[in-house]
Amino acid sequence: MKKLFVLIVAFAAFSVNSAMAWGGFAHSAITEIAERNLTDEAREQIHHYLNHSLPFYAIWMDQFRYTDPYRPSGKWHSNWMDENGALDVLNEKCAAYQTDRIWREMKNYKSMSHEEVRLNLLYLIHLVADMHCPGHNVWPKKSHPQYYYHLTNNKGGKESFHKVWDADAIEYGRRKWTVSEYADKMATLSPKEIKKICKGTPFKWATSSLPHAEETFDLTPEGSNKQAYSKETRLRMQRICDEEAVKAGYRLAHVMNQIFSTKK
Amino acid sequence: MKKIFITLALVMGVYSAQAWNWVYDQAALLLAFENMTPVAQAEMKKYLGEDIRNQVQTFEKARKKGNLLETADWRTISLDMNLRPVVADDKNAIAQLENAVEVVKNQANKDNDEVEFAIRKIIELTIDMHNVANVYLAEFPYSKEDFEFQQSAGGYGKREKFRTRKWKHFWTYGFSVFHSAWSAEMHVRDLKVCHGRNKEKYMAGTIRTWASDMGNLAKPLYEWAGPDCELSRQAHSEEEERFYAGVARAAYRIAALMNEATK
Repeated sequence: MKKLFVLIVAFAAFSVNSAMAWGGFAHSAITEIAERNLTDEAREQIHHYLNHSLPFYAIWMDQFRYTDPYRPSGKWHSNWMDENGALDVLNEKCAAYQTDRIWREMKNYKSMSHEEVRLNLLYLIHLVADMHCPGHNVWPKKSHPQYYYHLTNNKGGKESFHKVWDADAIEYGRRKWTVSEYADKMATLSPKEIKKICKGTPFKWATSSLPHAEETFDLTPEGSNKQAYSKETRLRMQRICDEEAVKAGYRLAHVMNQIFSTKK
Repeated sequence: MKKIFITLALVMGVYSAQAWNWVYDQAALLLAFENMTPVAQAEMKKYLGEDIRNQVQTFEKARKKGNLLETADWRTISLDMNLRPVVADDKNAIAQLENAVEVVKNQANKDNDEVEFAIRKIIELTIDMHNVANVYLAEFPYSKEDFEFQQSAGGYGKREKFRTRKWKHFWTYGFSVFHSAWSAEMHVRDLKVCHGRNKEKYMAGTIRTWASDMGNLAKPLYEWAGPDCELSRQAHSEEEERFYAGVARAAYRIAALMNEATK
């Protein structure tokens, strides 16, 4: 009875924090890195259009993906591969496709309405992050059945492959970290390194992330117990997520800085 | 078993009595401190210590230990049909804040503990009165109650599911889910982006005009929200702006009161 009593009290105390979504942690971290790397002119414009900093809207696209008139954007959160396993650059559902489209259109943001600019910014904030998530790469079921499998847990129940890579891996051992701490510790690239990772287009960025996405299948094979991965496996999983999140943060800032640069 | 339920009720009761989630209180105090005069900042540090950011929810902590229980009655404000404050006794934030400002102003005649307590009242009760769940409107009698309502529990459109929630608990913790693991500094930055331009407007006036201002902020909410109302996922997101407006007002007004009291 005493144990039960302690457990219930502990659960009640913990329940407030457990509502926090760690998928949101990665999105917040990426947008925080981006916010810190904006040029003054980009920051001023973004704050004007959003009336908030970038992290405030980190998960807006998730919150409104099934709400009219934003419903069509609900299909844009992943990158889709063709039958040969390559990024399907013509697929309008691709996060990379939509990022590239919106980035190009936003070069003429001054001719758009306030609401159009705001909406495009909300999309970019989320899409640049999502296209770097290792669990957001979708292959045809025929060539890559792995994407559709399930993992398990200690109780033998089904666990989502997507959630492990979308939310769990980046938080291993970091439950008490704030987003600011994450950005302080992770976003430490030199200007030269930042320039290098920001080169290219969203298609190139998405393609360069595919080896990491492929590696996820080896690290978390079908039916594996997500609560029993070795320390080495967890570290590797986290390393992959960190590398992609940091790249996403710098690239999001790059996209925003380019859009609002006065040096055209 | 009885012991378990009593303890659970106590734990949940403590949560529902708090102003906002800890990090929002911290953000309000940090932003307030930024906007204080050097004299006010020095007074804060003199009485509360160098570690300003953690000087929030001290009444709450005391109440958890069974102390300062009377402070639970000081958190609210009441407004009549014309949104004018009703201050019939001293069991409300307005009377207590007015008293606290006078104590700090006349600190030469007061002992240190009394001044420290007054400064803590300025911090905590200013935060409390800017939580819309602590604003009682005569026009909407249920605004005084910790009523149950239906909050979205996932799913969308016709498939959206709802679960029963308590109103005051929601206005304390219901918005932190959108910004998990944000630091107080991130909230401070964001509050400045969206409300910094209104700083002068928020800081002007008196505690009583601020109470009416909160009435204006809360009234449109209570026009649709009440017992058993449904709060969709979209409405939840949209209400965050009202929540943030309360946090920003509290921050700038703590600074205004400290600046006034130490002038």
